[in-house]
Amino acid sequence: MFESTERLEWEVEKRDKELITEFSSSTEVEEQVPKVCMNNCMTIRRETADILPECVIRKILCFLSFKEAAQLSILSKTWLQAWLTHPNLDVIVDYYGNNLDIVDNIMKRYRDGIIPIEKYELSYFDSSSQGFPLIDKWFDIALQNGVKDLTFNVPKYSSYRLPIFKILATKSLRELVMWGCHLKRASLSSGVVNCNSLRLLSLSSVTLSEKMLQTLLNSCPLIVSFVCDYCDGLEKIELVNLQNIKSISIWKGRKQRVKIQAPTLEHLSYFSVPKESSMLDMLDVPNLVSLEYKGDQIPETFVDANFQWSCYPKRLILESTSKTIASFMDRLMYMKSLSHSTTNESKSLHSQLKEVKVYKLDSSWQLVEFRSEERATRILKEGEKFYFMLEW
Amino acid sequence: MMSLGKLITLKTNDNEEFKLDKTVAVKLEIIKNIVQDVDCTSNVIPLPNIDGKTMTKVVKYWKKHSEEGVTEVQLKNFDQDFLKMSHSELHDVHLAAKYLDDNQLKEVIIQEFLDRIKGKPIEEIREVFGIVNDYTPEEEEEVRRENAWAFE
Repeated sequence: MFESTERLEWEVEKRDKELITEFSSSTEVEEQVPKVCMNNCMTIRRETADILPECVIRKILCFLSFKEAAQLSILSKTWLQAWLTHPNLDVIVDYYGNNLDIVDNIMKRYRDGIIPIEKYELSYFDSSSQGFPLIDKWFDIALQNGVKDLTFNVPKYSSYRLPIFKILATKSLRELVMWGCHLKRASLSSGVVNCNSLRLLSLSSVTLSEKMLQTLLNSCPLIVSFVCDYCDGLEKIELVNLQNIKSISIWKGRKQRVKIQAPTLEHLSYFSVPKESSMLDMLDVPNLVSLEYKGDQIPETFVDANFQWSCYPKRLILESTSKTIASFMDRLMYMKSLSHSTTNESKSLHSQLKEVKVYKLDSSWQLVEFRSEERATRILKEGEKFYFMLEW
Repeated sequence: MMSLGKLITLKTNDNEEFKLDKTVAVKLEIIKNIVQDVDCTSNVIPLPNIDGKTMTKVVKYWKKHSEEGVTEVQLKNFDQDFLKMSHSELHDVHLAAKYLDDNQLKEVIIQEFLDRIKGKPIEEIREVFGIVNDYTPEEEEEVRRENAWAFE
């Protein structure tokens, strides 16, 4: 849709320019004279002042917060107009709910004017439940006006029941980000929806049951990115049957077991809990390119004691105990030496590691190469991050 | 469709010609699209909406950004230097980037506009960009009142 309007603008401008030239030559006036009365999508060049056209103003507003954009409405009527129809809303209802009326008026304006909404971000910190019917209403407006990216942020203690399946029943939705919602209270009865447009599902500090997680994932089978950070109520996070998944990020809670079976997966970030085994079952991830891993032990399902790798990532970011890192480095070096030797033993291994480069951050946050001949154990410090570049 | 193997000439509305060699042109989806659209036996692609002065800048940007082995730091420095132009020139380059469907260049320019606006007082922004305040004092007061929440 944007494409066509942009092209249209060009055509209008071109025609205007021709008209001006025609007009100028027929009346023999200076070219800049009629330009002054042109609409403001036309650049006024040379000695006249600059005017930013509305299309540029709109783009500029997209990079600002809703509040910053509102402040600029005071510049001129063109800026006001651009702000009034700004497609991105981020709304914060504070602890005392003082601005419920203001937000409600803004939302009503979007509803009445059928103003398209692209992004809708609502943070609701009011401690009372007085605004819950309003939140429902605002969601309805955002959904009706075609919202694509939706972010909802409430404190963990909030008793608000997010109409999750109503949201997922929207055809336009592309990204859904939730912070702190309590999905255990959501009813599963209306649970069969299909949100095939959804590409990103992000759950942070969300409380939900395993059944709920499965229902959510079944509702949006085509997601490309999935985030699950510090979610309560789950003993098992099972990610299978996501046919387009490329990126997964998990900060797991205590005693949470994770199973990932995703042939299309390219990026995995996995952050385990200290003093606990990784509890990661990683199966069938042949396309993994990068892995970021934090945990006391390297998961067996990733590389086992016989140097059998389940995947061949090119980039590896590792944060672990110095002991684990040291032995992992030794293992890598051994594997590299194997693949460079010509004995039969090495050929029998199907993983051939050609090159390893190790980097770590120095005091000025620059990556510096960690030379393999340095005795790893002596130089390693606890809790340091190491970057491995692997060539297979 | 003509072959991409030769030099491609882009001709602006003031008849300035820009020859782009294969290494630059091939990397640009934009040129490929134009080439497909234009039914021509010669290698000259007319750009009716862009003048020579603007196109010089665009080509300079393209060439730098498609250089072999150019580092991130070099590009950053180049961009910084490249963006040192007046608002109207910046706007011309933006329109050209839009016409040429170059999203990267478009975004760079918008970001520059943003940097020139952000954190500045209203009066200063008006002055810098020559924005005419077309509100009457009453109207301006009303806008301020209605959006008082944003000015707190």
